Amino acid sequence: MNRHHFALARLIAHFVEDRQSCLSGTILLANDRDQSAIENYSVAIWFYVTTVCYIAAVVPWLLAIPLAVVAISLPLLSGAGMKANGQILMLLQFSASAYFATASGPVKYVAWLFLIVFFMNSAAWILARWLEI
Amino acid sequence: MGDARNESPRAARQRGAGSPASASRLRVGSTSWWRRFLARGVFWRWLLRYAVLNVPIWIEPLVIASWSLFFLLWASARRGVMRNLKAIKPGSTSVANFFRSYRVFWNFAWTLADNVRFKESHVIPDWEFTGYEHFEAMQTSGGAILLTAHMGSYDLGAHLFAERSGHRIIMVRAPEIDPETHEFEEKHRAEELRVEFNVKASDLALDLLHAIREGGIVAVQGDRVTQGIADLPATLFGKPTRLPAGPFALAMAARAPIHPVFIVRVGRRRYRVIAFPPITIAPTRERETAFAAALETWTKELEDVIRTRWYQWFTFEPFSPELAE
Repeated sequence: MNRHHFALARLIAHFVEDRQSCLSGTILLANDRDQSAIENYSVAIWFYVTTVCYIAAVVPWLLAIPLAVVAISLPLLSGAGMKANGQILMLLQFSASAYFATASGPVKYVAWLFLIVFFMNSAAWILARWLEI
Repeated sequence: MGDARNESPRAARQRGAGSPASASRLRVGSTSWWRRFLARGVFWRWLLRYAVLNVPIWIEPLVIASWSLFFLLWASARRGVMRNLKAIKPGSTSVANFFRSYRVFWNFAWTLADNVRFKESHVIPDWEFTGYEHFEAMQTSGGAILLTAHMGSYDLGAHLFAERSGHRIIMVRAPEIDPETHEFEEKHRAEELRVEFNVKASDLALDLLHAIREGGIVAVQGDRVTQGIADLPATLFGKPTRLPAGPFALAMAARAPIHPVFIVRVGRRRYRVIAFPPITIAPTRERETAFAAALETWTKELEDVIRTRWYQWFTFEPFSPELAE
């Protein structure tokens, strides 16, 4: 049973996590790919902080904090559905990271971190498919 | 498919139309377009459903966090929560309770989202149990009353129970104030559950009695009364309040036990069922004494759960007239 969404998290869980040894008579675990709290909170915070950093490169920090929420919410209005909207958001963040990776100042480190994790996840996806995880 | 006009009221309810009496009452009043945008209007239900279907799971915490902030603008609810917190946590400051009310809204938003996700995509959370033996006893028994509070997800809990026990669950709840919201909720509720709207106690009593005698479970929220519902005086957190009399009267009439069960959210897509020992009310001429004893047990359990999980009690009005002043 794998309860992680992203390939990188699935791969880590496959090799590291204790296989649901916490299962007992009084716990019922849902078999769902999106069930990992730590994965979802981490990705949400990281995605948001990255967006705040990109916007703060253009406008003051205090304005960047609420603007990042608006910037992330706007693509969701497409109504394309959960999966397509996820792909749209990732594509937009990838484009912004590619742009800011060549910028001067500390924002380039944020951008490089995103790109590295993005490529690591792509590699993990190939590996996960090969391992049939 | 039969003609809806020729259906009996009971069949109509089982079909999911809710009580015809309640529906006609709900249609009374203005349905101006702007009412959709009020706190209890249908617009927010549409928006939530849209969000559940369109927000990628991994960005959901951010959306919930920002929406919970937006909930804080709902002044009457925020004040209600803060006043209740003042009684639950004596000596607490208004500033601390302001931030605590954010935590209440944060849990409320997650619960609503989990509920809609379950209805739309049948995504179920993880479940933990406290007092599993009492929960199991309820599942194996015949007809019973499940007494709960406005905590966690009522619908998700009922679904879990219906799936595990095979019993028919009849949920009794207060109707939505807004007719469009009521209609929306009826249209999008889970298929397995039968919902009765508690508009007037006498409208429902016989139906519920039959349901229990046929082995069904009647789920009632016993922490709040609405207008027109029979109530009993009680004391909660040292404040006078009124709690529904219906579950106790029903238990006596049906000779069925009351199972206090709370469903609380313990984390992202994780809920805990807290089941207490059943409360039994033996038929007696001393109804008031029997009700008072049962109510005291219920109030104590309700207080215990709320005291430790105040951030899960979704009561947005002051629970006592003393707190409203």
